[in-house]
Amino acid sequence: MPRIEDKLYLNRYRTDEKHPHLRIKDESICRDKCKDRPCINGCPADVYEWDGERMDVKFEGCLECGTCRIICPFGNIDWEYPNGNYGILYKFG
Amino acid sequence: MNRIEFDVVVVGGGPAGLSAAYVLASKGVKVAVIEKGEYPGSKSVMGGVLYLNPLKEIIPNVVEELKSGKAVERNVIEQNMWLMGKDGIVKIGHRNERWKTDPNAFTVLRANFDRWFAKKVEKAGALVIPKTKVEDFLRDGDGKIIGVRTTRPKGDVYCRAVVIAEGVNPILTIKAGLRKEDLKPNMAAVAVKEIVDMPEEVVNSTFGVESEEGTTIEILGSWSEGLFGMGFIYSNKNSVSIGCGALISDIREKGIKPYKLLENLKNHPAVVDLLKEYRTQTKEYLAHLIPEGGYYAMPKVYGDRVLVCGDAAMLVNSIHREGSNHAITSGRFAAETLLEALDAGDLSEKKLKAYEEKLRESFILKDLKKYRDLMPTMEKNRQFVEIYPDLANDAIYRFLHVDGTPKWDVQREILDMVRERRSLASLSLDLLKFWKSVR
Repeated sequence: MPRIEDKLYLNRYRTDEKHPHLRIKDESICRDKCKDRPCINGCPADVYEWDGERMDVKFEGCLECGTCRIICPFGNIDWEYPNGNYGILYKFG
Repeated sequence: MNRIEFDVVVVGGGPAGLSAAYVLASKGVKVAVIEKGEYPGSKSVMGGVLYLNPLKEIIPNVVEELKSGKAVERNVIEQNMWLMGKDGIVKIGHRNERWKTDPNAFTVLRANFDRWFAKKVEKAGALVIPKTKVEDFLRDGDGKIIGVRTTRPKGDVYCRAVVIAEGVNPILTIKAGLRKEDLKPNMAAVAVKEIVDMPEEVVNSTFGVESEEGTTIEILGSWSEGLFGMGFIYSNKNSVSIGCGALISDIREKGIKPYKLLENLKNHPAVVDLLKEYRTQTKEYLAHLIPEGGYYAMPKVYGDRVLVCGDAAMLVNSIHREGSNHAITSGRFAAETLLEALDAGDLSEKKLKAYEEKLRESFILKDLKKYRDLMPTMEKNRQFVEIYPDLANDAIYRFLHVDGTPKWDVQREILDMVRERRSLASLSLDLLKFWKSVR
């Protein structure tokens, strides 16, 4: 299977480095309570990665679909759109 | 104080918001469209079929305008449905000469279409404000909505009414108090799509059409590994849109990545034969949610000085892959409701309820209501995706494959095949269930 990074590389983004628009509300919920961590599988851009201790959120590749927020069994993702003019900027759509 | 003030602020520069703004501005209402993307369309995604009827209602000569403005890709003259088995497909389709002279739908790329539509809206007199995100509402001492707060410095915009056309994620709809909770995993599908490069002449020969003409293929079956979802292949001018969507609740339960499903689809032998090496020439990779909750999952679509349109209002009929036409029509209804309300000087909830009545009297809520039980039925009856696509392929293969077996025996073999995988009684019951949920 082709790597998702190669697909995301084709897209145009304007990243707001200082303002991550995705944030885990409570790290301990991902660590202790959440068994299957469905955000990892559900995200079409592989934004979420479990490093064994905490959830790494690579918000730069986010396609702003909203799946992670809805799939999280604990409502533990603070989800907003990036600020105006930032984030994914599709050429074709 | 120098306040920025409009009659109406539309949040979201997609088909719903632009349609509302176009109708309002055409009647001289002072309206602003606030869009978070670089330009309207830069964050928009859909599979790619735009029905023309709702645009014809508001823009004169729209077909010629769309073509000359390069806002659309190809005129859909043929629509197909594939039932995909592991090694075969059952095809059903329809092609019609009448669509060549009287177009019904175009394939589109939203970055082009939305940008074109936004220019029309500006020409009609509205102000389109891109690169600006609306964070919340401004309210007066009584809690009434009197404008929107944007992320720009000094970015408060005052108005007499707000049209929420924010799309599928109901961030502002919840803040407006019109939806109590966020979407549940069974109320939306996550769809992924790739735009793959294909020269115009190759598109023509691949899909059997002339330049300017296109075809659509919807695909149900083995690619989804038993998940409830729909795949599609749409021909564009010099590219192809290929994608698929599956219910978030299914993705969560089965733990299959959305992108893996798209790979399944792209690597099915029939798709490989159709698109050949072009299927790997990806130009863009996109993802978006599709509202699937239908009638039961709708928010309240009106309140004091506020209306909700398009995907934000869950106005999608997924079985007919219709969404942008509901968006454009609901935007028009919202505008017509506001025109009456502004004239009467009454923007109260009671007055704006007329918007919901317009939706109810139209195809929008009639269709959503008609199919309200389809998704719940499908969710409970996995056989529709797990058993039938393969069964149909194997049965038709057996029927058409000539190997010297007498036809009576072939028929018996097929009947046995059906009995083995799904008893005849269950099959009849399934047909009845399906019929009941779509009748």
